Amino acid sequence: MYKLTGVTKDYPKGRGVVHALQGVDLTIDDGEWLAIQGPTGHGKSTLLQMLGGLDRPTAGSVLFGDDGDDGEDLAQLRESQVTRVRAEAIGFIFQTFNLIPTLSALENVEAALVPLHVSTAERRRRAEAALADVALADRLRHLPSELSGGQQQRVAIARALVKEPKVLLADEPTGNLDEGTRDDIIGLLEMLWRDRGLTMVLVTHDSTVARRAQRIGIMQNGKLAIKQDTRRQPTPTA
Amino acid sequence: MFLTYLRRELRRRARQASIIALGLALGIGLVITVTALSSGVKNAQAEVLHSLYGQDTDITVTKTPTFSGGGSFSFRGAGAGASGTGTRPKAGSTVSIDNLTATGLAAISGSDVTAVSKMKNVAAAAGGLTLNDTKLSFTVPSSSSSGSGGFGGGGGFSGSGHFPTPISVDGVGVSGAGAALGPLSSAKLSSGRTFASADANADVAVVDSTYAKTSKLAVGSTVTLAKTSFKIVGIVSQSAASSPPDVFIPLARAQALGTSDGKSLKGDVNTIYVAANSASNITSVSKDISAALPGTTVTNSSDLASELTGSVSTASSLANNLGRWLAIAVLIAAFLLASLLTASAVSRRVREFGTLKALGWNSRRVVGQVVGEAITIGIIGGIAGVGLGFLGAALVGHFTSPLTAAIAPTTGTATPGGARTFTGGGGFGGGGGGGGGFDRIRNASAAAHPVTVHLSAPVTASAIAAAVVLALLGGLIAGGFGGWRAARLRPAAALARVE
Repeated sequence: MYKLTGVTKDYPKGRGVVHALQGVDLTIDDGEWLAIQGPTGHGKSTLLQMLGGLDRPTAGSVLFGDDGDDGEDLAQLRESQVTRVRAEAIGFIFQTFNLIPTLSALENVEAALVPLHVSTAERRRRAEAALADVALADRLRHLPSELSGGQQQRVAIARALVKEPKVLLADEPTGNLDEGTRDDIIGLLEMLWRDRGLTMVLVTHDSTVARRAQRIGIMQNGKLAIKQDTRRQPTPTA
Repeated sequence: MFLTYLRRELRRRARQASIIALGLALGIGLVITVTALSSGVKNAQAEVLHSLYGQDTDITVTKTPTFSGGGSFSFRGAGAGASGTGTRPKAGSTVSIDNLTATGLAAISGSDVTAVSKMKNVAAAAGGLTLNDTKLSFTVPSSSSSGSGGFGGGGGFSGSGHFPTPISVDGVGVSGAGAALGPLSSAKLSSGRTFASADANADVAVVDSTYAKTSKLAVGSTVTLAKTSFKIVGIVSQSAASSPPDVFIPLARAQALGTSDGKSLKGDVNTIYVAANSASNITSVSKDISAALPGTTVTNSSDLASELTGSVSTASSLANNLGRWLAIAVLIAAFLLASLLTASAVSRRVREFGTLKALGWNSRRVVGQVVGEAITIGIIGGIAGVGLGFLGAALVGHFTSPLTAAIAPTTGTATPGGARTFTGGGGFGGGGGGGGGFDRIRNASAAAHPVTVHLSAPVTASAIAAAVVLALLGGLIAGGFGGWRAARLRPAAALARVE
């Protein structure tokens, strides 16, 4: 799905430069679940942004496609093209949920389908189905402020998956949740990953969460090292 | 989704949206009020000016006289026997003078009226004669008793004599354009009738109500002009501000009896009243006439408006200067406030927009959302502004005292409508003192009797249209500014923002 070669990202900071990524090489297979761990400020989220086309590397390439070798280089695409890739193929989940506070759960999920020019009725139908998949069929009209943290993250997951993306990128999805809710959410993500054959990259501090992934990468000083590789074919749940 | 999102967002920041809308409403309301006030002042000016021009007259054409300084003087039918230029009447004899003369305006050929009427963009043109009827009776002194000067060659009566107030007379057309244009057309008939086509060569007159009152005249009585009795057929009331003529007579009779610089005015006029076919063509027609009739003074309403004095002039200057700039200042402040508050709202929603971009919303859609919200606020502000504008205009109409207006007494300029005549100039006899006093009397009268006009502030459709445009503009400026900031957001930076 991805092939990253020599990805470097430098940020200016004051008079100096922060080397957030330093020549990261990484291949992510279709349907793989990769967890990335590491200390704060060592480049985990930056790497995720490169994968999601939210930012461009200072150097290197980020090939994206069914076959990473022949995919589009997100580093070279025009902004409108990257936007299209994000709209069609990549779902995001954030630590702080990032729901639109004025929109209901249903409307938040619908917002992900707006760029795809889906008809209003179809958008509504698919959003309701996505919320039902995350067990929130009875919370369609609720505003984010009327939902618990776990419920808000479920809405965010439904929003990420409603467009049936190839890739799900999650940045500390359980960072703001208690342990019980964390397990629920990770269980849900794992189930969806298995059922839908998603490629999932999950950034987390939580080793309990990371250990459930097929591979674990450790980001340290902008460099990535693979710590664990237990790749196996996802087994669809019954 | 666009409308739902827009509605919810505006509801969320209702207080801020209200402040922006209120600011825009104040600016737009002020613009409408000032525009209405300006229209009202213009209407008031027009009311005064129409009394000078005639209701439909847009332009007047006059000609400044050139005084020869040695004109002749004719004692027509004087009791002591008429005598020609330089002929000294017998000492002790009584001399009666009754002359109808053009003392302030030079003659213009009647053919020029026809020429003007055929010009491009001219709807109609008519000629008129502005004259003074002077009656004087005196006993010829012996040659040794003359104070300064005397009749004949180089003398004349000295200037500061006790001249009777002359009767101001306007010769006007009695039918067609002649009746439709000029000062009589705007006069209100108090009693009797106005002129008819059959009166063209008749000795009939229409008199001003003030003059009729002071001279104890009524319909059916007569007034003597140039030793000719004119039967009064109607009495009209006119605006005092215009220093209206005392008597109107048919143009043909005025031409037959009147003189200018000693010459007959037969076939001549001294004022041409012109109506343009459209208000927008007045300036171009004025220029065309100036080019076609060199030596004439062409005056239109905007020229004359600058000569108005009184509170209407103050109100005009208030509306056009202070009001306009105040409205512009408030509007700019409102636009700035709207822009800053919208930009501030965008700053607070950085993560939100970053999230939307991460979801695949392109910059255009995000900017559209911001601009849509700003324009909606602008429209709300515009609607409130129109309401405030109507309220302001109503308050102006309700609380403003009636305005006064008069034409400033001036000398040596054109005299549209024949309302004023020129001071200075000729005199009796061979070039001596004499003249000048008549005009001061007329102008002093005008200045002392300003007209009162009620000021209304009409809100026009164009003012409302301007308000709508301003509202949209305010929304666009604010939204454009906020949208520009939103468009520049990099999703990664936006998502990294800690709130």
